[in-house]
Formats: sequence, structure tokens, C-alpha cells
Amino acid sequence: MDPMIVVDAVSRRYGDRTVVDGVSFAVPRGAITAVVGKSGSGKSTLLRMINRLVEPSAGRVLVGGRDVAEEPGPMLRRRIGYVIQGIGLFPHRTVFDNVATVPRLLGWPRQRVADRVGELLDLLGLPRSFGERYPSALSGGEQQRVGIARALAADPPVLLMDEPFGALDPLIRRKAQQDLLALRARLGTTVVIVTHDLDEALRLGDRIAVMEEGRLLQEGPPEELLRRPAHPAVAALMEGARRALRLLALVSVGDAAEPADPAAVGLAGRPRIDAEASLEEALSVLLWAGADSLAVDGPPGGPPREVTLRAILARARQE
Amino acid sequence: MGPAILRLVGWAALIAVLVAPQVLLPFIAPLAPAGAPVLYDRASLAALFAAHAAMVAGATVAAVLVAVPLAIVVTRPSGAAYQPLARLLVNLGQTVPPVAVLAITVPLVGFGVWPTCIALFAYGLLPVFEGALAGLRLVPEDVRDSAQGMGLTPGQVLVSAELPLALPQILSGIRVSAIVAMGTATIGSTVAAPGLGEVIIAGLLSDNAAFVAQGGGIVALAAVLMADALAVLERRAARP
Ligand SMILES: Nc1ncnc2c1ncn2[C@@H]1O[C@H](COP(=O)(O)OP(=O)(O)OP(=O)(O)O)[C@@H](O)[C@H]1O
Ligand SMILES: [Mg+2]
Repeated sequence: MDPMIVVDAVSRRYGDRTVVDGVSFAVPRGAITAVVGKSGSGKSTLLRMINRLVEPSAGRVLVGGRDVAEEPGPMLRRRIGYVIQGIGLFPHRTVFDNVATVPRLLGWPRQRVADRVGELLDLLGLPRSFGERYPSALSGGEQQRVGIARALAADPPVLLMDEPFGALDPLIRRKAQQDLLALRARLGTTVVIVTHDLDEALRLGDRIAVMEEGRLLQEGPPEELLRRPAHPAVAALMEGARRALRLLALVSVGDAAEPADPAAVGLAGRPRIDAEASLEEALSVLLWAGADSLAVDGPPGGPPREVTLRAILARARQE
Repeated sequence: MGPAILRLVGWAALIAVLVAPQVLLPFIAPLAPAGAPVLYDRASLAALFAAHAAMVAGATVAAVLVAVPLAIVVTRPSGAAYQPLARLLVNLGQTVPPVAVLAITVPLVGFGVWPTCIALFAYGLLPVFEGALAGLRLVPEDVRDSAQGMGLTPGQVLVSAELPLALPQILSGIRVSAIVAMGTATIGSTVAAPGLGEVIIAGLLSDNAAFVAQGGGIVALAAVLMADALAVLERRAARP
């Protein structure tokens, strides 16, 4: 299938500094690509060239197969959700009016706007009564969710997020990440997310792009970056020593589970783990219990399954 | 409810004095020299007040119509280069004293309302310009950025985000400008512009403190009431 976003040899210069230098990659339809890299490596500039808030000095960007340069910037941006690092809610407008911004720009009828705003507040777990509040009356995490609702308001097929969860405490951040994955599963949105946090990138990204000093060092599935870093800086970023655990974190228990012999001794008495959990968690449970296999819960109605230490170790080993 | 009552009393007093100046008699009669009239009688106070207020309003509106667009232009990326020039012009209006402006303009436009309005306008530009500039600069970069990122055109960003957010500062500049104009308009009488300055000058020329008190009192009361009304607007604009 043709990719949703194609970044083709894109560069951006400011004066004689090249802050994005010949970057090319593609984001498949419905995929999440996480862009990681040090501060100043050009991540935001790269993201902003996708919706033309920054014009490339060279190269081109295609969204949905069309060169973004063919369309006036404002029109293009109404079809691309954008969550900026600082959220940037309109402080003088209610949550409702904030979320309704793009639908109103697009001239949706009043009732459709109202329905859509209600739907989005539900989707992001915000009470509908929040619609009447002003952003200053919300917590940082709630504001962030309103920012995401606002970016999603007109059902954009593409969502660009610039460190959207930066301001959140770890627990809420985790929840926000899960919400994003659920959202993507439901709406099929193609997402490019910039983050400083490698764990976040590994958790969310179907693909990861590593930037350094304006260059794209490597782009590919997380497992590939962990197993075959193309550049010493990528290896350093992946923190070689923890690589095996990071690999385990990418795989769900369900994917590594094997059918268990119902007659085997003590299957019922073994420690249990949910099929949705990661192998990293499974390993931790095994170590804690001093066991060498776990009974797997779910999906309901399936045959009994187990996940063994041996299977886990096999997944973490160098190829 | 203190401020509301005070406000009400203030407006009632102003209207009473304008409609029926004789209510002032018990208060200012002792100020008039023996045998001299206590109440200004060469024109009605209400008419003079109306002329005075019209000059203030006209000059202030003109200052807003020039200074706010100017502040908008110099805060656009394409107009940033003109900011020093705009500042210079606006400051010039403030540095040249209104009396000097009168001296310059009377030979050009003759006596009367026009030179006075020009002086008030020139004098009132700076507060409005600086207020608008400060307000537009205070708009958080994030808000501008996200507005643009959602697909608002530059004009839409200005109208639906920047101006509403800058409104309190803009109003505050207008308030300062209008208060200054209210007082300064009294000098218009030196070039034959009708206004409350006429009453004050008549009092000074004939050594009649009662005239000075009624002219000055009305100007002061009107300035306070206007400042209060604009401050209420400003607070309303600043909410939430
Ligand atoms: N408008 C601009 N003019 C000049 N230089 C710029 C401009 N925008 C960005 N830069 C420079 O380009 C480089 C990359 O900036 P960018 O914002 O893309 O970095 P980033 O990877 O997003 O960093 P961070 O993680 O800190 O947000 C920086 O050195 C920055 O100073
Ligand atoms: Mg950035």
C-alpha cells in the first residue's frame, strides 16, 4: 500500500546553517512513526515541514500522495492535526470553542460541530461539562487532552504531535500513550510523534526515526533499530546494555505463548499473566516467582496456554 | 456594592450640573467676587460639555484608528522593519506639547475645533500604540503557533486570537489617551474651540474662582467617570 506521508530528500537551511539535511522516510498509512533525537537535532523543524509551517529549502513532502506545496498552507493544515509542544489552547475561549475551531473553519453546521465536540470529549475521557470551562480551569493533563481533541476535531487522516506528553507525570503519561494507541486503532490515523523519551518511542512507534544534527541516522521498526543499529549513535541511544529488555518490551505475551498440556502438573497453580502484557513484564513475574513458566490469561474461550522462560530468553537473544 | 453606588452618584451629579447648573449655587457662590455672576452665563454648560466631549471622542477615535492598525502592521513579520519608524513618529506626537501643536496648526487650518483635535490626536497616539503593541506582543507564541497549525489564515489568527487577547492592553491605552485628552482639550479654548476650557479661562481672566471651579470640576468629574467606565470594559475584556 502506498505510504500516507513521504518525506523526500528534505532539507531546511537557516542562513548558512542546515538544520534538516537531506532527510527521507515514509510513514505507512495508519502507522505511528516516532522521531527521536537530541535537543536541536531538527525534529520540530522536520515535523513542521510536513504541514508547511516551515517551508523546505530543498526536497518535497507528499501527504496522501499529493505534494503539500501544491495547496495553500492553511487549507492543507485543516486536514492535518497538529499538537504543539506547548499545547497552545486559546485562553480566551472555552474548551468547546477550542475544540470546535477547525470544524467551524470548515463551515460545518452548528449541530454537527456540537455532536463532534461531545464525541471527542468522550473519546478523550473528558466530562462533557468541561466544554464550558476555560483552559485555565483545567489541569495540565486535561489541557493536553483538549489539545489532542482539538487536533482530531475534523477527523484528520494525519496527526502530527510534537512532544505532546512532555508535561505529564509518568502515570498520566502512560495513560495518554495508551489512549493514543487506542485512538489510532479506532480511527486508523497516521501519526508522526516527536519525543525525547526513547521508551515512549518504543512503546508507541511502529517505526522509529533517529535524528542527529539535522540528519536522519536510521529509520525502521523498533526491533531493527535495537538489533541492527546502523550508526554508533543509534546504538548509544538504544543503550546497548538494556537492549535485550527493550526487545522483550516490544513483544506481547500472547505472541510468545505456546499451547499448554492441560494434563501437565500444576498448570492451575502456576503464576498467571495476561496475554496483553509484555514479555519484559512476564520475565519480571517469572524472576519474582522463581518459576520457569507462567499460565497465560486470555483471550477468553481459547485453549490453555503458557509462556516459558526458554521462549522469553529466545526472543531476547542476539540473532 | 460601594463602587456601583459611587458610580451612580457620580453620573447623577454630572447630569444634574449640566441640566440644572443652579444646583451648584450653594457650593460655589462663596468663590465668586462680590457682584460677579456665580454661574457661567455666556453659553450653556451642557452645550460646552457636549462640544468638549465631541472633541475628545473624535480625537481619541482617530488616534485608535491610526495607532492600532500601525501596531498591527509592525508586529507582522513583514512589517517588523518599520517598528522603529512608527515608534519615532508616535513619540514625536507625544514630545511636542499640545500648545506647540496649536501654534503650528492654527496658521495652517485656522482657529477653532480643528487645531485642537489635531493636538489631541497627536498627543493621544502614543498610549494607544504602546498599549496595542504590548498587548500583541503578550500573545503567547504557542497560541499563535497552534492557531496557524490548525489552518487559520494570518488574518484569522489576528482576528480570532491576537486581537481578543490583546484587547485589555489596547483598551488600557485608549483609556489613558482619553483621560489625557479630556484634560488637554481645555486648552482648545485658547484657539476658540468651544469647550469647558472657555469657562475656566473666563474665570481666570475675571478673577472669578466660581467659574474656574465649575469648569474644572466638570472636566475632572467627567474624566473620572470616563476612566471608570473604560476600566470596567477593560476588566470585562480580560475575563477569563
Ligand atoms: N526560525 C529559525 N531560525 C533560525 N534557526 C532555527 C529556527 N528554527 C529552528 N532553528 C534552529 O534549528 C535547529 C533545530 O531546531 P528544532 O526546533 O527543529 O530542534 P528540535 O530537535 O525540535 O529540538 P527540541 O528537542 O529542543 O525541541 C536548532 O538549532 C534551532 O536553533
Ligand atoms: Mg522541538
